[in-house]
Amino acid sequence: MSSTTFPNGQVLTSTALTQTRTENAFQLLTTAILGKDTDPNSAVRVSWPTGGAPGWEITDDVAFLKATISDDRVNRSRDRSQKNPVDSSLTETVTYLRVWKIDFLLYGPNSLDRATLIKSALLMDWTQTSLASSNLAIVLDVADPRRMPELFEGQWWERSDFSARFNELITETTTVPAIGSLKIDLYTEDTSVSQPVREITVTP
Amino acid sequence: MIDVSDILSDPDLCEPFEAQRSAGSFQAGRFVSTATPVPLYGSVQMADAKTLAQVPEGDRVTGARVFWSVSPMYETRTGSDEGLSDILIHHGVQYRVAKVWNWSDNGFFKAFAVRIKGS
Repeated sequence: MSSTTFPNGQVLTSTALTQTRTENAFQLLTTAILGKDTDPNSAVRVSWPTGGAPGWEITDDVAFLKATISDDRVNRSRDRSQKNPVDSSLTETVTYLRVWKIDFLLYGPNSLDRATLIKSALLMDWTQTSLASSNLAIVLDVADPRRMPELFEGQWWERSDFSARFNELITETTTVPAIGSLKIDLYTEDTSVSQPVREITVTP
Repeated sequence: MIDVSDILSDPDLCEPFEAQRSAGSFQAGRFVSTATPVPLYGSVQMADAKTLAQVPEGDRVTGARVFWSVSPMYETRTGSDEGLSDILIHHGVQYRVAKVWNWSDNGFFKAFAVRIKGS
Protein backbone atom coordinates (compact mmCIF):
# COMPACT_ATOMS: atom_id res chain seq x y z
CA MET A 1 0.00 0.00 0.00
CA SER A 2 1.60 3.26 -1.10
CA SER A 3 0.63 6.74 -0.09
CA THR A 4 1.33 10.05 -1.89
CA THR A 5 0.61 13.53 -0.62
CA PHE A 6 -0.05 16.14 -3.31
CA PRO A 7 0.74 19.88 -3.03
CA ASN A 8 -2.94 20.64 -2.35
CA GLY A 9 -2.86 18.39 0.71
CA GLN A 10 -4.82 15.53 -0.82
CA VAL A 11 -3.52 12.07 -0.03
CA LEU A 12 -3.77 9.24 -2.55
CA THR A 13 -3.50 5.75 -1.12
CA SER A 14 -3.12 2.91 -3.59
CA THR A 15 -2.96 -0.86 -3.39
CA ALA A 16 -1.10 -1.07 -6.73
CA LEU A 17 1.70 -3.60 -6.55
CA THR A 18 5.20 -2.29 -7.06
CA GLN A 19 7.42 -3.91 -9.67
CA THR A 20 9.45 -5.61 -6.96
CA ARG A 21 6.43 -6.93 -5.07
CA THR A 22 4.99 -8.39 -8.25
CA GLU A 23 8.27 -10.05 -9.15
CA ASN A 24 8.64 -11.40 -5.62
CA ALA A 25 5.11 -12.81 -5.64
CA PHE A 26 5.68 -14.69 -8.89
CA GLN A 27 9.19 -15.80 -7.91
CA LEU A 28 7.79 -17.34 -4.76
CA LEU A 29 4.82 -18.92 -6.52
CA THR A 30 6.85 -20.32 -9.42
CA THR A 31 9.35 -21.82 -7.00
CA ALA A 32 6.50 -23.49 -5.13
CA ILE A 33 5.02 -24.83 -8.37
CA LEU A 34 8.32 -26.44 -9.34
CA GLY A 35 8.21 -28.54 -6.22
CA LYS A 36 9.63 -28.94 -2.76
CA ASP A 37 13.10 -29.86 -3.95
CA THR A 38 13.50 -26.65 -5.93
CA ASP A 39 16.19 -24.27 -4.72
CA PRO A 40 14.17 -21.27 -3.50
CA ASN A 41 16.96 -18.84 -4.27
CA SER A 42 18.42 -19.65 -7.66
CA ALA A 43 16.02 -21.93 -9.57
CA VAL A 44 13.68 -19.06 -10.43
CA ARG A 45 15.34 -15.74 -11.15
CA VAL A 46 14.10 -12.26 -11.82
CA SER A 47 15.16 -10.79 -15.17
CA TRP A 48 16.91 -7.48 -15.70
CA PRO A 49 19.15 -7.42 -12.60
CA THR A 50 20.49 -3.86 -12.30
CA GLY A 51 24.12 -4.76 -11.82
CA GLY A 52 24.05 -8.02 -13.75
CA ALA A 53 24.07 -11.55 -12.36
CA PRO A 54 26.09 -14.70 -12.90
CA GLY A 55 24.83 -17.01 -15.61
CA TRP A 56 24.04 -20.70 -15.51
CA GLU A 57 25.26 -23.97 -16.98
CA ILE A 58 23.74 -25.88 -19.90
CA THR A 59 22.73 -28.66 -17.50
CA ASP A 60 20.98 -26.31 -15.04
CA ASP A 61 17.20 -26.02 -15.08
CA VAL A 62 16.66 -22.33 -14.46
CA ALA A 63 13.54 -20.21 -14.91
CA PHE A 64 13.49 -16.46 -15.48
CA LEU A 65 10.56 -14.13 -14.91
CA LYS A 66 9.84 -10.90 -16.73
CA ALA A 67 7.03 -8.84 -15.27
CA THR A 68 5.66 -6.02 -17.41
CA ILE A 69 2.44 -4.09 -17.63
CA SER A 70 0.27 -5.02 -20.60
CA ASP A 71 -2.08 -2.47 -22.09
CA ASP A 72 -5.65 -3.69 -22.20
CA ARG A 73 -9.06 -2.10 -22.73
CA VAL A 74 -10.20 -3.48 -19.39
CA ASN A 75 -7.86 -0.95 -17.81
CA ARG A 76 -9.92 2.00 -19.13
CA SER A 77 -12.88 1.50 -16.81
CA ARG A 78 -12.92 3.19 -13.43
CA ASP A 79 -15.47 2.55 -10.70
CA ARG A 80 -15.88 5.54 -8.40
CA SER A 81 -17.68 5.77 -5.11
CA GLN A 82 -17.78 8.28 -2.28
CA LYS A 83 -18.17 7.70 1.43
CA ASN A 84 -19.96 9.92 3.93
CA PRO A 85 -18.25 13.24 4.55
CA VAL A 86 -16.38 13.68 7.80
CA ASP A 87 -15.08 17.09 8.86
CA SER A 88 -15.93 18.66 5.52
CA SER A 89 -14.20 15.97 3.52
CA LEU A 90 -15.17 12.69 1.97
CA THR A 91 -13.29 9.64 0.84
CA GLU A 92 -13.42 8.83 -2.83
CA THR A 93 -12.58 5.26 -3.80
CA VAL A 94 -11.57 4.35 -7.35
CA THR A 95 -11.19 0.73 -8.36
CA TYR A 96 -9.87 -0.56 -11.66
CA LEU A 97 -7.99 -3.45 -13.24
CA ARG A 98 -4.40 -3.40 -14.39
CA VAL A 99 -2.99 -6.24 -16.48
CA TRP A 100 0.42 -7.78 -15.78
CA LYS A 101 2.13 -9.90 -18.42
CA ILE A 102 4.49 -12.44 -16.92
CA ASP A 103 6.96 -14.02 -19.31
CA PHE A 104 8.24 -17.39 -18.12
CA LEU A 105 11.59 -18.19 -19.75
CA LEU A 106 12.88 -21.64 -18.94
CA TYR A 107 16.33 -22.96 -19.72
CA GLY A 108 17.71 -26.42 -19.12
CA PRO A 109 17.22 -30.00 -20.29
CA ASN A 110 13.76 -30.17 -18.65
CA SER A 111 12.62 -26.72 -19.68
CA LEU A 112 9.62 -27.81 -21.76
CA ASP A 113 8.30 -30.15 -19.05
CA ARG A 114 8.75 -27.49 -16.41
CA ALA A 115 7.01 -24.86 -18.52
CA THR A 116 4.07 -27.22 -19.01
CA LEU A 117 3.97 -27.85 -15.26
CA ILE A 118 3.93 -24.14 -14.45
CA LYS A 119 1.11 -23.49 -16.91
CA SER A 120 -0.98 -26.34 -15.50
CA ALA A 121 -0.39 -25.27 -11.91
CA LEU A 122 -1.32 -21.66 -12.63
CA LEU A 123 -4.81 -22.91 -13.43
CA MET A 124 -5.16 -24.77 -10.13
CA ASP A 125 -7.06 -23.54 -7.09
CA TRP A 126 -4.14 -23.24 -4.72
CA THR A 127 -2.13 -20.99 -7.01
CA GLN A 128 -5.14 -18.80 -7.65
CA THR A 129 -5.72 -18.50 -3.90
CA SER A 130 -2.10 -17.50 -3.50
CA LEU A 131 -2.36 -14.89 -6.24
CA ALA A 132 -5.60 -13.55 -4.82
CA SER A 133 -3.74 -12.48 -1.68
CA SER A 134 -1.90 -10.02 -3.95
CA ASN A 135 -5.15 -8.98 -5.68
CA LEU A 136 -4.12 -10.92 -8.79
CA ALA A 137 -6.19 -13.28 -10.92
CA ILE A 138 -5.06 -15.17 -13.99
CA VAL A 139 -6.56 -14.43 -17.41
CA LEU A 140 -7.46 -17.95 -18.46
CA ASP A 141 -6.37 -17.63 -22.08
CA VAL A 142 -2.80 -18.94 -21.72
CA ALA A 143 -0.91 -20.09 -24.81
CA ASP A 144 1.11 -23.31 -24.64
CA PRO A 145 4.87 -23.16 -24.05
CA ARG A 146 7.00 -22.80 -27.13
CA ARG A 147 10.24 -24.75 -27.41
CA MET A 148 13.02 -22.64 -28.89
CA PRO A 149 16.54 -24.00 -28.29
CA GLU A 150 19.26 -21.38 -28.40
CA LEU A 151 22.70 -21.65 -29.99
CA PHE A 152 25.32 -20.41 -27.54
CA GLU A 153 29.03 -21.02 -27.75
CA GLY A 154 28.77 -24.00 -30.04
CA GLN A 155 25.97 -25.81 -28.24
CA TRP A 156 22.19 -25.80 -28.43
CA TRP A 157 20.74 -24.80 -25.07
CA GLU A 158 17.22 -26.06 -24.42
CA ARG A 159 14.75 -23.25 -23.85
CA SER A 160 10.94 -23.07 -23.63
CA ASP A 161 8.90 -19.92 -23.11
CA PHE A 162 5.33 -18.98 -22.44
CA SER A 163 3.48 -15.96 -21.13
CA ALA A 164 0.44 -15.48 -18.96
CA ARG A 165 -1.59 -12.39 -18.13
CA PHE A 166 -2.97 -11.51 -14.73
CA ASN A 167 -5.55 -8.94 -13.75
CA GLU A 168 -4.66 -6.88 -10.71
CA LEU A 169 -7.50 -5.22 -8.83
CA ILE A 170 -6.29 -1.81 -7.71
CA THR A 171 -8.06 0.34 -5.17
CA GLU A 172 -7.14 3.99 -4.82
CA THR A 173 -8.60 6.19 -2.12
CA THR A 174 -8.42 9.96 -1.94
CA THR A 175 -9.77 12.36 0.60
CA VAL A 176 -11.47 15.22 -1.19
CA PRO A 177 -13.03 18.42 0.19
CA ALA A 178 -16.80 18.24 0.48
CA ILE A 179 -19.66 20.43 1.64
CA GLY A 180 -20.37 19.35 5.21
CA SER A 181 -23.47 21.49 5.69
CA LEU A 182 -25.34 24.26 3.96
CA LYS A 183 -26.77 27.30 5.78
CA ILE A 184 -29.64 29.17 4.16
CA ASP A 185 -30.79 32.56 5.48
CA LEU A 186 -34.19 33.90 4.44
CA TYR A 187 -34.97 37.63 4.33
CA THR A 188 -37.94 39.78 3.51
CA GLU A 189 -37.62 43.04 1.69
CA ASP A 190 -37.75 44.87 5.03
CA THR A 191 -35.18 42.91 7.03
CA SER A 192 -31.51 43.75 7.26
CA VAL A 193 -28.72 41.39 6.29
CA SER A 194 -27.84 40.84 9.94
CA GLN A 195 -31.38 39.80 10.83
CA PRO A 196 -32.70 36.98 8.65
CA VAL A 197 -36.27 36.00 9.31
CA ARG A 198 -35.32 32.38 9.19
CA GLU A 199 -32.11 30.30 9.22
CA ILE A 200 -32.01 26.82 7.79
CA THR A 201 -29.04 24.46 8.00
CA VAL A 202 -28.98 21.45 5.70
CA THR A 203 -26.71 18.54 6.52
CA PRO A 204 -26.28 15.28 4.65
CA MET B 1 57.64 -17.84 -22.80
CA ILE B 2 58.67 -14.24 -22.43
CA ASP B 3 57.61 -12.83 -19.09
CA VAL B 4 56.81 -9.14 -19.45
CA SER B 5 55.57 -8.60 -15.91
CA ASP B 6 58.54 -6.34 -15.12
CA ILE B 7 57.09 -3.71 -17.43
CA LEU B 8 53.90 -3.67 -15.37
CA SER B 9 55.90 -2.78 -12.27
CA ASP B 10 57.61 0.20 -13.88
CA PRO B 11 56.36 3.40 -12.22
CA ASP B 12 57.10 5.32 -15.44
CA LEU B 13 54.39 3.32 -17.17
CA CYS B 14 52.09 2.23 -14.39
CA GLU B 15 49.92 3.60 -11.64
CA PRO B 16 47.77 2.30 -8.83
CA PHE B 17 44.08 1.63 -9.36
CA GLU B 18 41.43 -0.26 -7.43
CA ALA B 19 39.09 -3.15 -8.10
CA GLN B 20 35.81 -3.56 -6.31
CA ARG B 21 35.55 -7.34 -6.34
CA SER B 22 32.13 -8.76 -5.66
CA ALA B 23 31.08 -12.13 -4.36
CA GLY B 24 27.60 -13.24 -3.51
CA SER B 25 24.76 -15.64 -4.10
CA PHE B 26 21.19 -15.73 -5.30
CA GLN B 27 18.59 -14.80 -2.69
CA ALA B 28 14.95 -15.35 -3.66
CA GLY B 29 15.77 -15.06 -7.36
CA ARG B 30 18.02 -12.01 -7.13
CA PHE B 31 21.79 -11.94 -7.01
CA VAL B 32 22.97 -10.27 -3.81
CA SER B 33 26.65 -9.45 -3.57
CA THR B 34 29.09 -7.49 -1.48
CA ALA B 35 32.18 -5.84 -2.90
CA THR B 36 35.64 -5.82 -1.39
CA PRO B 37 38.27 -3.26 -2.45
CA VAL B 38 41.39 -4.82 -3.97
CA PRO B 39 44.39 -2.55 -4.67
CA LEU B 40 45.95 -3.15 -8.10
CA TYR B 41 48.89 -1.71 -9.97
CA GLY B 42 49.40 -1.55 -13.69
CA SER B 43 48.94 0.41 -16.87
CA VAL B 44 45.67 2.08 -17.76
CA GLN B 45 45.07 3.04 -21.38
CA MET B 46 42.17 4.74 -23.08
CA ALA B 47 40.09 2.38 -25.21
CA ASP B 48 37.25 4.77 -25.93
CA ALA B 49 37.28 8.44 -25.00
CA LYS B 50 34.71 9.90 -22.68
CA THR B 51 31.93 10.53 -25.16
CA LEU B 52 28.89 12.67 -24.82
CA ALA B 53 25.58 11.35 -26.09
CA GLN B 54 22.88 13.98 -26.17
CA VAL B 55 19.50 12.35 -25.87
CA PRO B 56 16.15 14.07 -25.36
CA GLU B 57 16.18 13.18 -21.68
CA GLY B 58 19.60 14.75 -21.07
CA ASP B 59 23.29 14.12 -21.55
CA ARG B 60 24.76 10.66 -21.15
CA VAL B 61 28.47 9.98 -21.08
CA THR B 62 30.16 6.75 -22.10
CA GLY B 63 33.78 5.62 -22.17
CA ALA B 64 36.08 2.63 -21.85
CA ARG B 65 39.58 1.80 -20.59
CA VAL B 66 42.02 -1.06 -20.96
CA PHE B 67 43.75 -2.13 -17.77
CA TRP B 68 47.01 -4.12 -17.70
CA SER B 69 48.20 -5.70 -14.49
CA VAL B 70 50.15 -8.65 -13.17
CA SER B 71 47.17 -9.33 -10.87
CA PRO B 72 44.08 -11.12 -12.16
CA MET B 73 40.94 -9.18 -12.98
CA TYR B 74 37.60 -10.92 -13.34
CA GLU B 75 34.47 -10.94 -15.45
CA THR B 76 31.21 -12.23 -13.99
CA ARG B 77 31.75 -15.83 -13.00
CA THR B 78 29.65 -18.80 -11.95
CA GLY B 79 30.34 -21.83 -9.82
CA SER B 80 31.78 -21.91 -6.32
CA ASP B 81 33.44 -18.51 -6.81
CA GLU B 82 30.26 -16.81 -8.00
CA GLY B 83 30.51 -13.05 -8.44
CA LEU B 84 29.99 -10.09 -10.73
CA SER B 85 32.57 -8.46 -12.95
CA ASP B 86 35.19 -6.37 -11.20
CA ILE B 87 34.50 -2.66 -11.01
CA LEU B 88 37.83 -0.98 -11.70
CA ILE B 89 38.25 2.54 -10.34
CA HIS B 90 40.62 4.88 -12.14
CA HIS B 91 40.82 8.57 -11.25
CA GLY B 92 37.57 8.17 -9.34
CA VAL B 93 35.67 6.85 -12.36
CA GLN B 94 34.18 3.35 -12.28
CA TYR B 95 34.62 0.89 -15.15
CA ARG B 96 32.99 -2.54 -15.29
CA VAL B 97 35.11 -5.35 -16.72
CA ALA B 98 33.60 -6.64 -19.94
CA LYS B 99 36.46 -8.70 -21.31
CA VAL B 100 39.57 -10.30 -19.84
CA TRP B 101 42.64 -11.60 -21.64
CA ASN B 102 44.47 -14.07 -19.44
CA TRP B 103 48.12 -13.73 -20.45
CA SER B 104 49.35 -15.10 -17.14
CA ASP B 105 51.81 -17.33 -18.98
CA ASN B 106 53.50 -14.11 -20.01
CA GLY B 107 53.04 -12.56 -16.58
CA PHE B 108 50.06 -10.26 -17.04
CA PHE B 109 46.30 -9.84 -17.39
CA LYS B 110 44.52 -7.38 -19.65
CA ALA B 111 40.96 -6.20 -19.07
CA PHE B 112 38.64 -4.11 -21.20
CA ALA B 113 36.18 -2.21 -19.03
CA VAL B 114 33.30 0.14 -19.79
CA ARG B 115 32.39 3.22 -17.83
CA ILE B 116 29.44 2.89 -15.51
CA LYS B 117 27.53 5.70 -13.95
CA GLY B 118 28.00 6.01 -10.25
CA SER B 119 31.05 8.19 -10.16
